[in-house]
Amino acid sequence: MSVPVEYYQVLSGILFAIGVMGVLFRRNLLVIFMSVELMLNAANISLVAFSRSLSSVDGQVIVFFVLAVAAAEVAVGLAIIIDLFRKESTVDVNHVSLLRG
Amino acid sequence: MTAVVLAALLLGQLAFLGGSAVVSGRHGTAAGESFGSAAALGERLYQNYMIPFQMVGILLLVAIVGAVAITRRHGRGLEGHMGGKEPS
Repeated sequence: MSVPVEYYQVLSGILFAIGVMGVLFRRNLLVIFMSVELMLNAANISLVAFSRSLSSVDGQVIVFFVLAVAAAEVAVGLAIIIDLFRKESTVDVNHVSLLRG
Repeated sequence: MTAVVLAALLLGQLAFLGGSAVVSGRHGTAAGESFGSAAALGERLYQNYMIPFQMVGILLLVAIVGAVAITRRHGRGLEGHMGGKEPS
């Protein structure tokens, strides 16, 4: 019934590593974005697991804040991607190396 | 290649930490009946985290306004990228 907290940590670490590799290796901006979300949610898994292990609700409250910040980040990031696609007609980061607007 | 090294380092660290935790015999305690319920969570959220909660609200508002400001064409509304035609 009770899953030890280390298993959750390993799962969280694996998901975070997948996210890191996605950000570093993939060239598609949308996939990079999804990888960032994967890393955020790996941290959430860790927070919830520790929250249950320590019988403290604080971790789950922090997960709410992380989710809210992730939502804000997605809103702004997708807007930037849309603007970029209108300008460059691509979301490949290899073709987007200029900071000039 | 850097990513692989970083990921291996991370996972190795985690395995090390997990192993030491297993040795020290620290396991997840059985959760209580009402632990983690929506009522307990809401109470904690509204009593101990009121200011951060409101700040998150402001943050979401700013993010949405920023997203709209970035996405819409400057000064032109919807006709900018619709080619002057309204979507049917």
